[in-house]
Amino acid sequence: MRTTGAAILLAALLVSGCKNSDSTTTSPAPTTPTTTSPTTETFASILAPLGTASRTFVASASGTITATLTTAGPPSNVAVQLGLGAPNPAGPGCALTKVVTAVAGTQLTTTGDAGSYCVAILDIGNAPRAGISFTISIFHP
Amino acid sequence: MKYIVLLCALVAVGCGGTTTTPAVQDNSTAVPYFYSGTMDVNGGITVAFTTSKADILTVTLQSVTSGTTISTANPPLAVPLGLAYGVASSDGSTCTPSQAPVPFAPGFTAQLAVASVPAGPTCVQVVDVGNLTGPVSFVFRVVHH
Repeated sequence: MRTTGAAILLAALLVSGCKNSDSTTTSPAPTTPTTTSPTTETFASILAPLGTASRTFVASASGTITATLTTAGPPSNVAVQLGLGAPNPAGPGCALTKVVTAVAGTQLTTTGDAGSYCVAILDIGNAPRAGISFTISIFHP
Repeated sequence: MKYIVLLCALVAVGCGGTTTTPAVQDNSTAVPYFYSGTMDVNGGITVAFTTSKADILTVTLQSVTSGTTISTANPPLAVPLGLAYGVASSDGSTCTPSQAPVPFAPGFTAQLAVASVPAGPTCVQVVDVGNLTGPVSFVFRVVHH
């Protein structure tokens, strides 16, 4: 019995010797609720004549999603199509859900659940040979 | 992820000769899976999967576009397709719907929502409910919370 007690004491000393001599206690990390702030992403590129361009983004929560055609040109008032949809699960491209004819300043707003989305811009025959330089701001949860 | 054991099968139903791509998991939320496929007039598709416990199921028809391939250039259609869920056979080859298909137009928020789907083989169907006049491509999302 005495031998057993000594062994336990020795084991305890060995274990404690492996640790930092500072005796500290660790309390469970507090769990704090995480908040998700809306995010604005920018999609900027050049749209080829009769071409399309799309960008995928992820909404981390349900909420309002707004795509704004911030700039587009030349010419400065060029009309294009601006769309929102779902990314193609099988490959590239955006499966559109809604589109609007847009000029610089046009917004496309919807409400959606958390998940993946895509924004797209399509030329409808107005692009000059050099294409249309555009910027789209995407506001989402 | 742990609630989904396996995507068992993708089964074409109806007479549309449809195809469906494998599900793609979206990591932004718990367990959303995206599916895409094509459907002809009077066609339909079934996807089957197994859940490990009774849980919520939501289905969202996110996009319907004309044509047999998904392309950004294809204009979106507002045509409603029918959504239904049911019990799949253990090998996923058959689906017994728990309800008649409910038509929904494409959107971004959950449409078919089931409070508690029993654990086990489950299936979701997307079918033409008489609105199609030609082949379409579509994307829908199935979420298990």
